[in-house]
Amino acid sequence: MIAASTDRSTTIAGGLRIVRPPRPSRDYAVATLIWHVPPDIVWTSEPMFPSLALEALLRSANGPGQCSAVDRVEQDGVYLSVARTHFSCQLEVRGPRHSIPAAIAELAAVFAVADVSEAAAAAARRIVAEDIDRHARDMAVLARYALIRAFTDDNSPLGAYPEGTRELVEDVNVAAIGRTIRAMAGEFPMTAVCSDQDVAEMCTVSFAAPTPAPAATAGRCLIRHPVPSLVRVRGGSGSSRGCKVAWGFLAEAADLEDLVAAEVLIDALGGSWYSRWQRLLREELALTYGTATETITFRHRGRNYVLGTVALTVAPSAVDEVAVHLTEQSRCLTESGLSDGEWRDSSIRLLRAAALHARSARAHVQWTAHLLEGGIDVEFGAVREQALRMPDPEVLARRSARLLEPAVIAIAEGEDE
Amino acid sequence: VTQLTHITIGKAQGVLIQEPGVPLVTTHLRVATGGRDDPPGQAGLAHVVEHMMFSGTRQGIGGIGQGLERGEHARIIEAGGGFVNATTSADSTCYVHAVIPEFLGTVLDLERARFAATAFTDEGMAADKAIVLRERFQRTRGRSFGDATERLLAAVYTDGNGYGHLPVGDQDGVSRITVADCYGFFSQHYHDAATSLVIIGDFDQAAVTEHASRLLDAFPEAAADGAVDSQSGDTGLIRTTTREEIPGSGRSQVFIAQPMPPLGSADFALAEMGAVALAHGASSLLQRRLIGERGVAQAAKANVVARHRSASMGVLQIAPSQGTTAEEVIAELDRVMCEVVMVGLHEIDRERARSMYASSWLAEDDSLISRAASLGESLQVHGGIDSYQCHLDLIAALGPEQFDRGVRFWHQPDRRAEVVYLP
Repeated sequence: MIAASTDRSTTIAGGLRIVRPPRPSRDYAVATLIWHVPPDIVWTSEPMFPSLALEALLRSANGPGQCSAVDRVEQDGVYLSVARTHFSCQLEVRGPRHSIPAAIAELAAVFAVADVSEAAAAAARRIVAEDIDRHARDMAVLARYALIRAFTDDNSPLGAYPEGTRELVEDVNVAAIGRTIRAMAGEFPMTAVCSDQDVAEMCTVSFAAPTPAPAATAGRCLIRHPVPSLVRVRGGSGSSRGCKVAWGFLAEAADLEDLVAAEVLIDALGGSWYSRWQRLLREELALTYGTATETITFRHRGRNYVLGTVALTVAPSAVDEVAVHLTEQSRCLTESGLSDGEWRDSSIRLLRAAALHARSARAHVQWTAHLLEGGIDVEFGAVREQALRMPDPEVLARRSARLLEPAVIAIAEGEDE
Repeated sequence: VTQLTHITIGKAQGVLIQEPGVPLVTTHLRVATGGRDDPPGQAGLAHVVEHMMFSGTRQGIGGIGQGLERGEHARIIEAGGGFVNATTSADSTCYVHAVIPEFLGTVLDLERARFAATAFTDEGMAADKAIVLRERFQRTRGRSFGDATERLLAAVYTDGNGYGHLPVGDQDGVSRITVADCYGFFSQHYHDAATSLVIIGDFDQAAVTEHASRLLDAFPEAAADGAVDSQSGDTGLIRTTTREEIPGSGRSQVFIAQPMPPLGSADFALAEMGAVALAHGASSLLQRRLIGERGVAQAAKANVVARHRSASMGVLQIAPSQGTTAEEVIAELDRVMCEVVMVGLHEIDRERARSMYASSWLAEDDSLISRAASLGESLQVHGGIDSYQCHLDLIAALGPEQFDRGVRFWHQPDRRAEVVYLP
């Protein structure tokens, strides 16, 4: 089955979908393999740790000369990077264009064998522990998790590090890793985003898996009510002296157009130098170096969600003042919304800014992977482009008003100065 | 098929690379001045000037009409979906844009307007100084171990050579800066001999050549004493080993900084290659030995973090694993490095490093913005782009002795600065 959209080609092969954004090729290629895993698999009675499992598999000596997969592909100049989010585990494969198809084949071969050594498992545990340590002291991460927990509940897997805790990771043994690898090879849906045709074809040959079982019927909505308007968390010992303030919302999206409305709203508030809160909090009040925005779309238990945040780093002495301003701004936004001009300007800006993703093969693949990692329909790219091309401020305002019921301010406070 | 055009206006240089089919054009305007030129007591002046370049102009585009307002430059670019940024390092200040091809003319007009009709005001200065201090906070104390680079620079560059402070500036230095200081700095350092421009993308070669020439013409002729200082050497560099310990940091982290060869020298590429051999990729030497075999670390990195024209600085960053002290991980690191320096890199490690280093270069070359930055650096440091274009040949030709020399830069146990964060 072939599904085409205006800016990328898509192929479906069993449980694997392959997306290839168009860009003139140079001598460099990138493929990102995305396993769509549910956010709670670390917290079940038989937990799975996909990024730990991948790190271990790649480091296990299992080929000629007792080399590992990473030994072999790095000899050809190929970099491998594992990343974990709440909705996926990703393996980025990048390097000289002529080396990537062979690297993909190599990775498929070690997946098929699924042979993990004790030494590699120990190294993988250390690498994931480092990631956990780093995240535990990152105010941006802590603020984001606090914001999500405000909308869900204190035990939500979305409000904690996706690969669990140090204690959980230290207990992961080779048998559990093998179970995870086997599940990744056939149980979870998979997407490969490839920078060129040769790489796409090798992914089809190497990773086309049986169609996974259909997802369970729609579960209950993640969002709880009532939602607190302000939450605070404190970073542990050794965290930075800075505070992170994150304003945002987590909402169920009725359709793909809702996701676009969220993206435009977030951009208009903090996505550019002339966005509303960048002007106020940086240019007028000099309370921060700048705002950072994030819009994440994901599908969970049959429902589509969107998380939109505007975050900023502030000194401890300024955090209360920033919270007051954001509370007032949030109230104004709820009452009056954005102006027609703000809706149009941000829509056009986002549409034109799509060209920026063509600045490199890696950027193009990363952007497409970001759109698709939450398991949202691959047609989202085309829907997004169409909605941005012909923005209707009235419709955008109506959609965003629903998403903003309510918004939350989350503050992660670092150590005192 | 790419087409390359060189332009020279006075002593300013430009390189235009036409690359058909790319829906994006990037511009990289580089001025060879930065934190190194900050006067004593005014750390951050070059950086404040960079910020002030967005604070408005005396005349409108093409010298016609009213000047641009503060922030208007960025507003125009971003309204077109473009990317606009500027950075200040020790030796250079760079103004970067990436836009759809239809906006290239606007970018070049805006650039000319701000460099030909600069307007620094007290009001803009007050705002920019406050924002610069927020930036400093975000880059240093605002994140875990964020002050490590500042501590290492101060320890490695011991003399008043201008490299011992962060280009972002500090509280005292920034607070002393006046509008007159900014004008003085601008007129002294923003001249043709210090300026280069790189444009890459799909554009009309003839029209853009003319447009870019007009932009470069906005830079005045360098004064007789305004030539860019290119002296190199290791005066003012660390001569012993120092250690600073920072307790109460929550967890251990070890930073070891060592002097590296000057940017642009043949040895500089070897030092970069050494970093790749040691810690880039999961099968690199330190990752394999410290994380995998010995189990004493959970992360190991090596990077040339300060690329300076007279002497650079390389930093090893090691995160000890649980149950391992900072002292133990440093001892293990030294054991591994001693062994490598004595025996030399194994052929497998050498060829892996060669492939990975070439791969990093290909990644940089594949990105329009990174390629423009590298070409700009090459113009500034070498006066041309031949060294950039021949980089892969250079990597392919490196022999075993050169690899070993590259690794040795990362093991100077008698001459390094250690910053150790303790739990």
